[in-house]
Amino acid sequence: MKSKFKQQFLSQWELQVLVWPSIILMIVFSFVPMLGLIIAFQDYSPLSGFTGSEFVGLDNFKAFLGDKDFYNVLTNTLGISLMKLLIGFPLEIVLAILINELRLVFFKKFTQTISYLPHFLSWVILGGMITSWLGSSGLVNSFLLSTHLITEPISFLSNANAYWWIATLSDIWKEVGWGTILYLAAITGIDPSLYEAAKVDGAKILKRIWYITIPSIKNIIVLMFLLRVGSILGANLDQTLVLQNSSNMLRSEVIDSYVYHLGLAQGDFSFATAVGIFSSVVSVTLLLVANFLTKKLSDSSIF
Amino acid sequence: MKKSIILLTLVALAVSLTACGGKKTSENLPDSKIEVAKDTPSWKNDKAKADLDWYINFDWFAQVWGNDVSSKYITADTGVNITYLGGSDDKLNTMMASGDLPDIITMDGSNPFVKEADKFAIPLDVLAEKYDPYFMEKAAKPETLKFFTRDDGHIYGYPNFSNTKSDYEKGGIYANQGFLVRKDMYEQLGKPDMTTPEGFISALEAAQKVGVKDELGKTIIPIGVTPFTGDSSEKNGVFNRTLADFIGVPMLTQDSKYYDRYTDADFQKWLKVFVDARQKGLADRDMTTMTKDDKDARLTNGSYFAYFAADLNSETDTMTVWANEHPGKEYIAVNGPTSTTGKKTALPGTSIEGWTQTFITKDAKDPQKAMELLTYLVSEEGNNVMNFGREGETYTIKDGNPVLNPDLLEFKQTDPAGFEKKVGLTTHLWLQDSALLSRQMGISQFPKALQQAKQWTQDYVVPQFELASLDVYLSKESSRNKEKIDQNWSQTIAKILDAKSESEVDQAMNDFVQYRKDNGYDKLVEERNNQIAANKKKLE
Repeated sequence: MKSKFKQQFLSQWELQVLVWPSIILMIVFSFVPMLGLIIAFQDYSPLSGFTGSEFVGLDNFKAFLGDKDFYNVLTNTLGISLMKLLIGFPLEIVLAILINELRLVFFKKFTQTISYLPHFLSWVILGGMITSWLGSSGLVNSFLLSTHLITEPISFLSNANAYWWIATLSDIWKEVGWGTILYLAAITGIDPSLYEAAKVDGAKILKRIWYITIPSIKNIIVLMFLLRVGSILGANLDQTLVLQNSSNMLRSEVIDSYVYHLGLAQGDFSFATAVGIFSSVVSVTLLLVANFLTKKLSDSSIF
Repeated sequence: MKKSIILLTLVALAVSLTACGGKKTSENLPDSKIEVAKDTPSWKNDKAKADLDWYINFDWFAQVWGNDVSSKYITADTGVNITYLGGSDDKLNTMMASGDLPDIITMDGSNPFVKEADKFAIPLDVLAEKYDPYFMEKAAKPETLKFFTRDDGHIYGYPNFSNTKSDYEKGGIYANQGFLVRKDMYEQLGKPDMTTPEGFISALEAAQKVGVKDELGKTIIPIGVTPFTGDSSEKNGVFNRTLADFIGVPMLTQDSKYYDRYTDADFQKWLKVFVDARQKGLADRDMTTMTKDDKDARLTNGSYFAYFAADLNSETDTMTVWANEHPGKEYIAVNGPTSTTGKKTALPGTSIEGWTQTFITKDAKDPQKAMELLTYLVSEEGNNVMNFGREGETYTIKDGNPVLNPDLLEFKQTDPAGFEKKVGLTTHLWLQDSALLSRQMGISQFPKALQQAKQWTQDYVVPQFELASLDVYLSKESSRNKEKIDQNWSQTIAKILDAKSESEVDQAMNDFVQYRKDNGYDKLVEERNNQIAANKKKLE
């Protein structure tokens, strides 16, 4: 038995060498830290460590589940994420297909580069740009005033109801180009003979997209969709912190910024961890549901 | 967030596995290497040298020890060479969790770790007794020591900028708020009285009518305030406390209890004056949303007629740029909003709690040298070296006070940032005594562009020691509620400033009061009252 194991191991040692580092890394960085979740049930202080901190049971969970503001925060998180998902997600696919259909190679490369440039700017920089563009004497208002579309400058960022749109659109502007990369790669892998055959059969460009391009990248679409659903409760902390202000806080506070304000900034790590566990559980549930549904509906899923 | 949790747990795991042992406690401190005396600071006799690590919990502090003039003098005197480590809360958390601490730690006095100082710091009174009795006897201020003595009888951290009652009595303390106007316009308008609601509004209206353009050719904005967001030290512009301070809303009730300043009738009245100014288009439209950069741009372009500042010090750069380029048009402090019920303007000066606290940790390699350095920096002698350098080289004594050489003084007042970097005097401020500096240097310690405004505050500055560390020792529940109530106040004040009618203002205020009540306000006030009572006891 033992020698058989050894024999097998030796016969595939190259594969084993490839696999083990990842397994070890995963254990060290993903499983061992799970022990730390214990601090969600403690009154944790870094100085006492989790061996010395007092257990408080579910107090931390009660603290945020009993907080009326938390439901507002949850609504904001879901609202902003769903808008990003419903608008941003299809837009990435559309943009990828459009870029793919461009025939002029130079123009195609140019468009692609321009579209994913904003991805490389951090939210700290973009936040400053967006706040000054949307200010009363900023770019947007100057344009609207000079074209006589409005007579008084609009204060976009102080309007709480406009925040979801600002967050969604600015996020799409930043990330849509970057999001096309995977789809473009997948499209490149489609066998050109399929298109040629369709052309011979008289299929116009829209038909070719509908019957060849989209079905061919379906698996990637499903994969990307499920990944996005899994992170629906993480509505981009960086973006929130730079675009948030007192006037729009009612609509801009999301789970991550709530945790930051009430947990980490106060040194209350137990509270922060408790909310973190809650979001993780909800995210996994959402992921499983979405996976189940896509399996039923389209017969493709990630597991 | 996930990342920080992972990091934290990893660190915590590492600690629990390795278990930190061998921490110094007061009992097993090594013996003193020299004979100590009450009247002589030990650094004068102890000629040993030491390299110490000093962690400063501010990521903007980027000085390197030894690059400037003053740190060289300090090393020459004490034999201590410092390696500064800088960082923000993340780094401090990791250090505390790992138990691997530098020799000296400085953090903001409101940092949550201050509460648990007994777990990581050696009491200064214990160190002083063993190594440097001069600290307790002569170097440190008795009132400050008393205030920082905890229930267990020990003193863990020592503050910088701690101003005591006797400092206030000696005078020369400046506040950090101001109501500024552009000098040229103010004179053009005939120096209008802006202290009453009517005068305030009509002066702003007049400023709008004169049609002055700013540097960019845009019409001037009658009034702006410190921005609400960004990294400014004061939240909600001037509406957290500056306006209330100007109109003299009390901090405490008659019987020394926490006073609710927001619902004060006079404060509400003045708030509505600002709402009125907003409705008439006299105030900056972006007041609640603008960033610090936007504000800086407006001030360096002279875009405001009046600017209400919650933090004068942070206007050093903007005021210097504008004043240097536009002599005669500089911003000057004048009397701003004043009580309609006859109360006196009361601006807070730095309190007895000061700003930061500095601790010597249980991991200190050489607690004796660390204590000697602390004594040195806290003492008048050390303060002189920090602020003025060496007598005969960088300063001379005139009328008993050190006076910087003229070229250095000019450098300090016109290019504060360059002075800090090259000369460094006043840079190593973590144990500085600002009251002493004020007595020695007076108004000339400030950059030229701020001197008039700083001078203006002197008549109105009052000590508010009872409120020291008001929210540092709150229970977890109350400190969470405090954060929520503060956030709700931010939203409320923004809503009020955008209100279209008086009833909207009242509605927003009522909602706020109700929200507070629903979120543990009574308990919060009770805890604050306990702190006030405890402070009073220590101040007696």
